[in-house]
Amino acid sequence: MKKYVFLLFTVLLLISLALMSCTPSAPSEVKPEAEQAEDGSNDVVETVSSQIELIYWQVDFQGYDLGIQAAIDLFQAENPDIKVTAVPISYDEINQKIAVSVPVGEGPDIVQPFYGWVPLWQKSGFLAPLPESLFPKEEVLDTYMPVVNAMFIDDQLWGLPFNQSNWAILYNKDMFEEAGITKLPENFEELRQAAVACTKRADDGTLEVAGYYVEFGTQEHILWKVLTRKNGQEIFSEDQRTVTWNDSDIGAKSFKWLTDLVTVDKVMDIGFGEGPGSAFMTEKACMRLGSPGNLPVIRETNPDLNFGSFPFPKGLADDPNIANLNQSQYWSMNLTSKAVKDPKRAEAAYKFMRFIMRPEVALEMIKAGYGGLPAHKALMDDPYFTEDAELAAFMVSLPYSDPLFWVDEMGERNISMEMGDRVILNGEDPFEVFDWGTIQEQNLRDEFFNN
Amino acid sequence: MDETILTAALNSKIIFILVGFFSIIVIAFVTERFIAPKLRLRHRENLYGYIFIAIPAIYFLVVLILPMIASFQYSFQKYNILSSEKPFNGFDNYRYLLNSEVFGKAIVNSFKFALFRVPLVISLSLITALMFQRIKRYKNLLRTLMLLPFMTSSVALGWIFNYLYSREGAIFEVLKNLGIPETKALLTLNVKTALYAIAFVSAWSSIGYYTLLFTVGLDAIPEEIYDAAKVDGASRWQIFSKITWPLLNPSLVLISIMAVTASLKNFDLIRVMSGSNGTGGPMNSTLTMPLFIYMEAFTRLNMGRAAASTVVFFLIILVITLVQLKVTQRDIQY
Repeated sequence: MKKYVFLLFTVLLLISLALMSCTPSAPSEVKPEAEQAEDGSNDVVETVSSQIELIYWQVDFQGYDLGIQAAIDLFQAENPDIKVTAVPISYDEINQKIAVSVPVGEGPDIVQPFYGWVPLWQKSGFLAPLPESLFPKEEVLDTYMPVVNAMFIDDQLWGLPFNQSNWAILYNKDMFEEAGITKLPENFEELRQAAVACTKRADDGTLEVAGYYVEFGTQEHILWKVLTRKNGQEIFSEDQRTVTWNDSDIGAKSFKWLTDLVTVDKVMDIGFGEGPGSAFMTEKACMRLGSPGNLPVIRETNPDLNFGSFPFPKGLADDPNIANLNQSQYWSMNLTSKAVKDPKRAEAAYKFMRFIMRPEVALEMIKAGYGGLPAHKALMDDPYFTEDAELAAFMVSLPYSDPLFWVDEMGERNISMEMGDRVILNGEDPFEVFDWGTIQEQNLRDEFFNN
Repeated sequence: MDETILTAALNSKIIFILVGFFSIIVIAFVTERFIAPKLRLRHRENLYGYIFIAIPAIYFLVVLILPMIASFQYSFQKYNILSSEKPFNGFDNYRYLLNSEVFGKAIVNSFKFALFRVPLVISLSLITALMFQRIKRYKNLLRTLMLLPFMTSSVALGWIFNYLYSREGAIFEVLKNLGIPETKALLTLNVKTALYAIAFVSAWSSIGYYTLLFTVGLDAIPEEIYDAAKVDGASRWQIFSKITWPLLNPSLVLISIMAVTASLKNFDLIRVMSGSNGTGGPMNSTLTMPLFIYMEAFTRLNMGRAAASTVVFFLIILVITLVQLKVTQRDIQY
């Protein structure tokens, strides 16, 4: 019998230890610092030395850890009583991590979402607004370029940008020369002609070089919307509730321009290359839609690639401010509602956000690893941006760069991708598909605003 | 003692471990000292049996049953995962699913996936298992090799086949050389073939596992019955149809239920191989129920609707399993 009892003890002990180690931490638990930094799942706590610790969740992309650490180091030097711990979260996992942490009262104090996710996160109650007393609207608008507009929801400020990204066209100089293109495209018709001239096919018709890489899974799902705006048709009503891209035929034609590149002009074949980045770097694509963040990657991965960039072409609208419009996008910095529950912690979090508002801090973050373009007006003429030949093409349209308002970024992206697939893969009529997409988009907006 | 340190200690994981550990000691001590001596030997042994069973039973209850009950509850709530509020919203989530074209497509796709995969995997596994019965040498080596795809991570398999199906891949090359137009030869980018291309990979990777299960079933059939049939002059087909097939029924029931549920629940391979960045593309042609539930929960953040979809999905699998049991289970004896 004693043997059984011993066995029973051992088994129960092992199982209980295993189960206990899986038990989520209590919301106000204090862990050793090293453990907190490693898993990031811990609550924000006041540590034994009364130092406030803020947990910062950021999407884990190359260099982003260095970018935020640069800001944290500067901040902590000025505020030794506040500790900020950056926790990298993979892009695919961020929603799961939040889903697991929020119900048990854990999760970050500061979070770095794609700006397009902010409306949905704000509506869910996950984010906290930045108080007008500490972040006066006038000062915020004076500090930042129009990119900050997307952070104002219901006239309240919900976050801050620290950099931004827009579009320019990246092109292969050797291929342009070979195709006899001497003038860089300035409008979308010239872009189309250059793409056709640059496209190379083997004798049996197999595509060897895509004139312009079209991929609805990446930026092209937004491109036709921006093109619609540049051509003179706003895509949503001022209150963002109603789809207006079908108020004239400009929207449908802009969408068709993009799908025609594949179905009519044949500058690209479906499934060609392994995405725009890889295709451009391996010289399988003559042109691609580029972001400033692509530049360091290309320079590092394929330093011998003879490439250049030219500004995002003009649209057909009469007003140059509209014809020159560009899409601006960024990862914003936002406080969570959990961060502001405790006044002391809230104070620390606000202090960090105020610190991020300084242009010199944002510049350090960009230089250290975030890359991209400045979001601060004061940095517009900084030599770091103006003296870079490839970056200059992006800087040209920065004053016209304006973020779209997303009610459900992932849902809207899926609709746009399906629109592309319907035309390019399934051979459906682009105008009919455009009408289908309009209904789907309106449904999403109705659901967001009415539900 | 510093209050903060005390709070930290009380809140730490160590306290849970210690409480768990001491609880177990107390339960065991009370059982051994006070309860067990009062019981007869047989009951005393039973008591320990119950305690042992209680451990997995509690685990099963906590990890499986409670979340299932919670899912039922969430399915009647407006539950966004970022929000702490979960107001009751009646049948709204179910109403949404009923009117959702995409949800309907996900159900149909799940059935298409299962209908393609299950017969394929069962027939090929059975044929392979029957062939193994005739092999005398290197049998174990071959069985191990057959199991390799099953033991390989689905994610890795998905990436390998993504490459094979791509323009640079061998499958595309072969189809193109057979004169199939490029747009149709790119199987995972074709709306009509994408789902089946993934189902094929799923079936192929499971053949080794189901072969093993069939082999166990075949080995359980007594050799004397075959000998008697041979003496009676039965043909190979007669032996298979009158002896092997009927006596394999218990294995077949188990394997068919496992294959159907595995097909309906398949997620990782579909997530890796489906188009439009793993969201069920092209044009939702590879969107199955598990992927729909995942997308609803973690990309649209709507846990209420995801829970309602889970309940519907659970009921579908339950009904199918019961029907399968009813139809396939037969008691055969010779």
